[in-house]
Amino acid sequence: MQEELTRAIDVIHLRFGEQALARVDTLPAVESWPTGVEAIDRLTGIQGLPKGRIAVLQGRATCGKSSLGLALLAQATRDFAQAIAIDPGQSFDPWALLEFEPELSALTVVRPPGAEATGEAATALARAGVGFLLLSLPGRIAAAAEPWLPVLAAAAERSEAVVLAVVEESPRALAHASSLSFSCERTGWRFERGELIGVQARVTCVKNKVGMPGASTELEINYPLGAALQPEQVLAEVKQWNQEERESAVV
Amino acid sequence: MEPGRARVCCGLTVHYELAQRPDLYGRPVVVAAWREHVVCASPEAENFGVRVGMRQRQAQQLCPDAVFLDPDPDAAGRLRELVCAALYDLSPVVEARVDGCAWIDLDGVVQATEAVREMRRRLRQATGAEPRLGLAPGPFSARLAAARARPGRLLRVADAAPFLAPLPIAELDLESWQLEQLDLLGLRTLADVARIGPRQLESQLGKPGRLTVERARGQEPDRLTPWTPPVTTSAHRQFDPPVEEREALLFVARALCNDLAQELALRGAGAKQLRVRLDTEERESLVRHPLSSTAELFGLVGAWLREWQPAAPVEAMRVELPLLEAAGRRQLRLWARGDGSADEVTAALERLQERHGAEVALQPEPALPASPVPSQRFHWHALGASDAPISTRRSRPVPVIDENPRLSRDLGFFPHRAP
Repeated sequence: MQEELTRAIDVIHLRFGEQALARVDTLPAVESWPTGVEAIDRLTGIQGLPKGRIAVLQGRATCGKSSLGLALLAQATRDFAQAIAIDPGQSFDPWALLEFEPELSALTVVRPPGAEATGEAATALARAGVGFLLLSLPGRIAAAAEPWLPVLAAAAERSEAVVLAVVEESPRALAHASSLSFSCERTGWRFERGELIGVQARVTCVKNKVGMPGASTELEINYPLGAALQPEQVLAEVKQWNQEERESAVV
Repeated sequence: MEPGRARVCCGLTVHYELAQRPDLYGRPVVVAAWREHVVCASPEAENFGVRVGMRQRQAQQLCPDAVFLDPDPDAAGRLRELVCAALYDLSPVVEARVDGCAWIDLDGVVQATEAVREMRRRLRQATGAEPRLGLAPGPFSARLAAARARPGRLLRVADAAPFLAPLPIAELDLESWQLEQLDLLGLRTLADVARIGPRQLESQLGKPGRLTVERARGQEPDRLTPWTPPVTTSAHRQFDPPVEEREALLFVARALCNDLAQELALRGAGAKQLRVRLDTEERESLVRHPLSSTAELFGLVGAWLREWQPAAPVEAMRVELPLLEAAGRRQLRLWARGDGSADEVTAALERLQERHGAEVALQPEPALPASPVPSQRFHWHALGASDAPISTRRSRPVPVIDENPRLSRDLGFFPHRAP
């Protein structure tokens, strides 16, 4: 029995190469990139985001995922020669980055005109060996990402690029292609002297191929100082939350 | 010529016509067209008396067991180009002939020994045969030294004259009638030729007579004709029957890009211009960053093909690189954190700009970060463009909160702290 198994393994190695079938303990360990946010590094189990894999940060609007993504992007601009934000929704504002002290000379923003071009850009840049790739995907683009996600995953694996996708809701294809998924959920707003200064968010590792999933942490995400610009949705959410708080206090 | 200084290395392999069939090494092989003259013959065939220039039928009579091949001068020429390209980065002065002689000038080369060793390895890789190497003050004596070296070995000649003296006059590159005339004059060795004056032999043989004397004296009158890398290259494929499937075209395009990338890598070159022809239709593009890898070339070609709608089934595809220059790559992984791939990333961004316009890849530069108007806070520069900022287009107007008193009053968090 053992001989037959060994022979079968030999045949597989001969036909498809040594990489086609390998013992787990012989596989190379996944390298990580420390994000600079200790809580996030702790959640991954490998002290950082995995290199050569797709990581996903998902959550509803106003949960703080974009701010967290920007914090990681700022860290990447300091750590890598080139960090690229792919922004098909054209919503990226570098001003929000300034709070995190980025190295702007290392930052390039790519604004592809459509879903297909987004995939083309992400794949080409991952293949070229960019250090960090932030994919800010609106829902319609994320939903149409299935054809190019496997190509992107393979390209990132070859070049060891760190790919972080920020989405509101992770479609199945993206959930499948990712090695690491964080779910971000807002647990409250942060006020100071009556002013909104940020959100409290719970970040949970819902999928982890490189470590143990399920861990979660609480984050306090502050908006940049002088943030006189808030999307209407934030304002509406804050208003609703204030109302709920008042009602619960009355009860 | 500075005497006593070996500076030219000659690598002697088989004729490049014979090198097309390395599987026949060790067997008598004759390259000659039907009823034409013999172009070249393997040493095994020459043992039977086959000589270059004799009639093919005569060669067949002398060596009936030999394998007779039709000449393929194009393939031999390509191999010659390949050999020159392979040797070009060892020395800037390189010459190769299809008869299997290749020279490099080591004058000024810092690591000459290493260059000779590398020359041997590359010639063996290109022809499949172990070269014989000769190092001498000039091309003539270097070739004769190489002819006397064992395969894979180097014969070094410091002083050409004493080395050449005992050699027979058959080693001189002369016509048969000229050799006969020398024989009639009683000149049997190069030492004999060296003893007479150049003008005397010139009067007998014309200008070659003077050169012959100078060669025999070890004065090395010949100069290498430096090979210059072509400034253009291309690869093409003919389809029979014509192809209309896009996947098939992409497959062939990738293979062509792979061939071109291998050639570029060998020459250390990159393509500044790329042109694709499908029958009579063509597309071309100038790139700022030289393309050199398969991924870079196919990134552009593949993107074109995916959106191309040929009017009819395609009979031929040609990928041309009309403008080449030094690839100018930095050593990969020289610095940590992916700096080594910065050039590739820039090239990928440029390709995206080629396809979707310059505004697809932007770099922000702080302008008035404290401004309440978002569009004033940053200037956006297209990657690789001049200093002129471009206006950015936003998908939706962003509300500025100080223009909306209702919201600021209701929620009470305005005015904010100044940035």
